Amino acid sequence: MKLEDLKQRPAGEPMVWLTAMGLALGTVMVVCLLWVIFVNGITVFWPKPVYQLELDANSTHRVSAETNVFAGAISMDREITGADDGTREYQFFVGNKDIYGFMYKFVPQADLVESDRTKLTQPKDIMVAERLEYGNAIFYPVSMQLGTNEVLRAETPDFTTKLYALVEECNERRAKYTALEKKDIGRINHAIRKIDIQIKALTADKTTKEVQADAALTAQIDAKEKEKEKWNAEYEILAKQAEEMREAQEKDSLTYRLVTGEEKTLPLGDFVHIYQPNQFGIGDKVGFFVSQFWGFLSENPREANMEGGIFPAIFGTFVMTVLMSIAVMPFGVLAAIYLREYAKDGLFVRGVRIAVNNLAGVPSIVFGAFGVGFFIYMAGGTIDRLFFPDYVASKVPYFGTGGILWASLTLALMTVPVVVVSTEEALAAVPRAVREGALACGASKWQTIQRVVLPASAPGLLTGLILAMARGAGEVAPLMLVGVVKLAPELPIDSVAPFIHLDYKFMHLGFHIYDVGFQSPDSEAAKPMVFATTFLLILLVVVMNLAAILIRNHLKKKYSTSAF
Amino acid sequence: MQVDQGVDLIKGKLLAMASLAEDMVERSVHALLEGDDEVARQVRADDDKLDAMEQEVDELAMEILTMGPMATDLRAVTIGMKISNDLERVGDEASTICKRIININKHADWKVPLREEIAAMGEKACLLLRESMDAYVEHDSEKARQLIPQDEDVDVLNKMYQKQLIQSMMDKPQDIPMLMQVGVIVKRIERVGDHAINIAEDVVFIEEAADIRHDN
Amino acid sequence: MTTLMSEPETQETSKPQPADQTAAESTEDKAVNDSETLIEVKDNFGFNYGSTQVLFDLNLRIPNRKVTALIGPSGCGKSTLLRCFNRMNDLIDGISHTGDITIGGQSIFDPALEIISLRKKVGMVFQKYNPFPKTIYENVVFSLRVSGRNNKALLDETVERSLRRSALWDEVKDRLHESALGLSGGQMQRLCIARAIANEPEVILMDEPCSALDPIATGKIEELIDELKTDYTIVIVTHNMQQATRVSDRTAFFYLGKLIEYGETTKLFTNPQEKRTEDYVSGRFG
Repeated sequence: MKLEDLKQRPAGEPMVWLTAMGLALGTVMVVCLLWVIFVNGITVFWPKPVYQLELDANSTHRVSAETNVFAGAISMDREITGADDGTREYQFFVGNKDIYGFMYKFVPQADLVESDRTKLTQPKDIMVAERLEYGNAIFYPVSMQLGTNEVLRAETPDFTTKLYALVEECNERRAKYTALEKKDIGRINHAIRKIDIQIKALTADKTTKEVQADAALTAQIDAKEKEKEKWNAEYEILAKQAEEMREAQEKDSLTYRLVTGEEKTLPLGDFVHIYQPNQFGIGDKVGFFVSQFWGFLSENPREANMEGGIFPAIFGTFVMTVLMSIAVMPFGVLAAIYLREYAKDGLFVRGVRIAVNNLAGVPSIVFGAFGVGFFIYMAGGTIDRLFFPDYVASKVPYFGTGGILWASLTLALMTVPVVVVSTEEALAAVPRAVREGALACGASKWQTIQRVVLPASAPGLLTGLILAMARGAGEVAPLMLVGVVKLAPELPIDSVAPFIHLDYKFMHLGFHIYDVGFQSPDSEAAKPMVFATTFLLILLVVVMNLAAILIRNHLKKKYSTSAF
Repeated sequence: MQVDQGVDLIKGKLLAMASLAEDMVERSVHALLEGDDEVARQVRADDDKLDAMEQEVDELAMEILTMGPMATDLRAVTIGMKISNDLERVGDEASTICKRIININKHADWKVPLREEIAAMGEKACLLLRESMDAYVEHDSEKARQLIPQDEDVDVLNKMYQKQLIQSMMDKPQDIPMLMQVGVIVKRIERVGDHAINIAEDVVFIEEAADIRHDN
Repeated sequence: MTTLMSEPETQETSKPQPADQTAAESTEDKAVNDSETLIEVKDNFGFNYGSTQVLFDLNLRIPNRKVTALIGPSGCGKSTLLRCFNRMNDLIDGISHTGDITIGGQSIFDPALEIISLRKKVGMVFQKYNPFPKTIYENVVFSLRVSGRNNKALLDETVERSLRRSALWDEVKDRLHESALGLSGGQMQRLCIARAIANEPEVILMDEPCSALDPIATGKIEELIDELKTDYTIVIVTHNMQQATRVSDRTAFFYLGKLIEYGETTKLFTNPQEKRTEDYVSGRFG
């Protein structure tokens, strides 16, 4: 052996670099995507300083016609589109849509007296307020009117503390009457609706004369009306309570002045949160960020989905994905078991397998159309005819319309091929020797499958579930046809019997992104919401996948015979 | 080395041993007839060679046994060890015969009685040996079986000559020491015949797996 | 009276028989009589995969509570015959047979017989150890669980008894509920033996059980076979001639699907009657 003979380089070394580059490229793209979404989404929640700015005398970009000062937070800093001399502009969030007619304003940096953002004035006392309507407001407080006679001026020492406390009170009261209206009154409405439908069914296709002639029918209707009255009485009491609480919200009010000079008075009940951003220390900022993010996750939307939280969409997406998984797993696994273990190889079986694989390539909107035709009209219609004749008679569909059940089933159908394929692979990976060992112990074929093959292939089954969930949670097109709505009045799972409402329509994160991003009246205002929702959707899918991966790893350790 | 090669090697070595042993017996007979001391001494020296060859055969057999021979090979190896032992003993017999011849020749003028007869007996024993080794080489168990009764002849001669020698001892007591040497020579020749028959029985076992020792 | 099967066309001659028949002890072989027989392959048993015949005219009696070895070159049908005894060949499509196989007098091809019950009476240990990806405990009690017997006391007792019998108890008694896949190769094969005897079968079939093991593990299994034969009838397929001589009482030599010679092990290996047997055991082919 001589060194000179042992120096031949292995062939194909450039391929190592090529494959590494491919991986690097993919990783970079994913990281960039996540970073862009993260940054754009997260900055929504991070408190920004509010500046007081002055425009040049001849600027055409005044916020308010009367004056060339205004207040706002910087939301964008970019080159002016179309300008090739590198001039830049700021996008300011100025709020106060009710007064200005807009929330965002682009201002060329050249028009500002001071355009260096590090040198801008940050007035300490300026306030930002989240409101029920018209989004946020930026202002200086003037005075509070408490009840009918007391007026508290902003200069008084505990003014801010008192203001915050009162706003908090209003928030609690609002939560109370919202709960009252949703739960208790909601229950009553349900019952009344049902009775209405029953009455409608009784009187359907009959003229009033016929009804009056029929004594038994009249008696029935009267009984129902009496029942309805009882509910109505209860309704009156609760409605009065709610009404009282709503009125209490109007009791106190705040008068404030914008930097541009306009003044306005609003009842305290219209405020959700007031804060002074320029007084935040780092601890305050983090606290603010966390509470904003939490609010985003847990609150209901306001202002045509542009403000508030997206909790219903998160919940709807989650419930739908779970229902879809419950539907697709048994169906897909059993089909795969039959194909792999029991079916005799032949033309038919091969045909079925080809069909299943091709199903994976069908565009998802086609599944939506199938869902409408088969699930909603045929299946839903049949169920209504058989079990809910009252609804049919009153021309109100129960299951014969879009809902979370049909949406889950449609998506289940769409993801079945994925589950079937991965399950088949996992089953095939269980070595023949282990199966023979089970049979030699006197197990029947099904016992072998149930006790040995399935546990051993469980990791592979979960891989199928992960892939199915990933695909299902992200699809939007079919959902638009089978049960997703822009704004859902109720959650599909709540405290009203029967607790799980498979017929309800629901909200979905993917659809929400589409709706907010492309269908909302004010696209600038909606942009942060779009990114935040996208970020959340990715987060939700990642969390669900992680859970499944952890379960799969646990099972691998316990059961694995192969490298699946 | 494979089992087959080993078995062949043993066969070769045994043939070489047999050749040497036969030759030693023949030369002993010649030494007796001619009264040749030199030949007798040569024969005695050759016995060492035979001993060394027996050791070689045994070592070879051990080596083959570690390989796990079966059936005929197994029999050939284990019995081969026995045959080599018999052949080595034949060499010992020839060596003893020659020792006695040397002793006798010290008394140059003493004539050995029954000299031709004893030589003929030695030839006969030699023949038996040669034939049994032939049967071994040819894998001929029939031939081997037919040899076995022929041992009788040598035994009969032995008894006859021993009787005659005793008679001579009674007639000429002064010759007793010499006559005893002659008696030993006769006995040793008879033993060569026995060894030859042992080999024949061994051949039957190798070829037929039939153990016919002690059958009579 | 011997139960040998010789080939229809005898090109090779048998060994020369001694002229004197009374001195015949070394060539005569004790046959297996009725009372000793547990498994009988009878009526010229033949076996086919589809249209290909792979076993021809077999008649063979395997004695009770002894170890019988099946030897022969690759493709001679010994594994096929072994897998007939517990009807594992039924997993393959298109098989058929002629003749019969009985165990304890009962035909195993009787249509009224449930195969899963047969397999509980005739256990099998495979060439490559194949424990289930479960705990050691669950591996051993598998055949009881599939019979519907889940009583904990019974299972515990079975686990200890079977593992002791397989010379594995001391090594695993503290980790019964750990995965079986963490054992060494030899331990896993002994676990498979424990699994096979958990249901107290009558017969244990072993298909080259030591071919994937090192010599020490092989030695342990062979010792185990020697102890097990007091309670079970063992039929073992092996490629290793030495192993056959070490563990078996009787040996059957197969060639091209036919039974060439069958007899007491020592006799078959020191003095085979058929030239083909002689050539095979001497290592001249196969």
